[in-house]
Amino acid sequence: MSLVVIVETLRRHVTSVAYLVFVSFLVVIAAGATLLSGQPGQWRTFMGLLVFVAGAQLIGPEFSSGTLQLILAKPINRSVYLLSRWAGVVLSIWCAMGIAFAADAIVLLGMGAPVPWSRMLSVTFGLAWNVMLVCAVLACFGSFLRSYLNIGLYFALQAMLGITVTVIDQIRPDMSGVIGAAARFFDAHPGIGSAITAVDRNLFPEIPLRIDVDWVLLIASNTAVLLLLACLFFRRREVPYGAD
Amino acid sequence: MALINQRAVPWWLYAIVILLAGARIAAALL
Repeated sequence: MSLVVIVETLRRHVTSVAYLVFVSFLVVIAAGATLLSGQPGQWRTFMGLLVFVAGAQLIGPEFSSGTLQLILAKPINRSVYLLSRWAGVVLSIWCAMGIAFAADAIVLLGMGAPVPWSRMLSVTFGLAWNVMLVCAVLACFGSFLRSYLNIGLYFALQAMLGITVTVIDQIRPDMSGVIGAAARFFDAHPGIGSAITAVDRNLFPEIPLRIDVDWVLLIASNTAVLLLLACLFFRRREVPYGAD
Repeated sequence: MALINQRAVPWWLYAIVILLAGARIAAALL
């Protein structure tokens, strides 16, 4: 990976007004909610916003500003560029999480309340680890889609898979009409249902309450596979000047 | 110096994928 691209991505994030406003907001939420309820980790609800905003523009902004055309002309390897961008975005998000975590801990310590370190650390680790996969999925979609369509595809696919898994689970063969016929079809071909479930669990896994080795490896290996796919797609991507 | 292929996917990315996927499969089987 290219340290220059990682550091530049990190710099672009931490010096952006929106990022600073968001982190201040996160600190206020973390400190305020912990102060009021005594329950740490309330800031986690708002992390998704940063993950998706930062992840969605993994590839976008440098296309439109013309920076990417310049970078690729230098020459820098496309894969190195893409992986470094991913690393920079993930690091920026981790920084925000670290600051929110610290705000939580400082408030609890200031209140003289017991700090549930192991629970706070394991929950924050789960969230942070999952950020790698979410950004890898967005990078993969962004490697072949224009502007911010990656985030659209992300949510559409997540909703579609979730709904399909639930529907296949709920319908019964003795139901009438098309529904019954569909249930009989899925019963006759159980592979289709389990394949859809497998795709859903691998692309959009839930963060378990108890982090185990299997889950850590699932995130790590799927992140690697998706980043490899992103690099393969991005290799063929046209990079016209002033696109998007 | 040989010309750098800007579009080549680095070999170590394949290595990482094989390593992590292998670790995941091994952990699932054991």
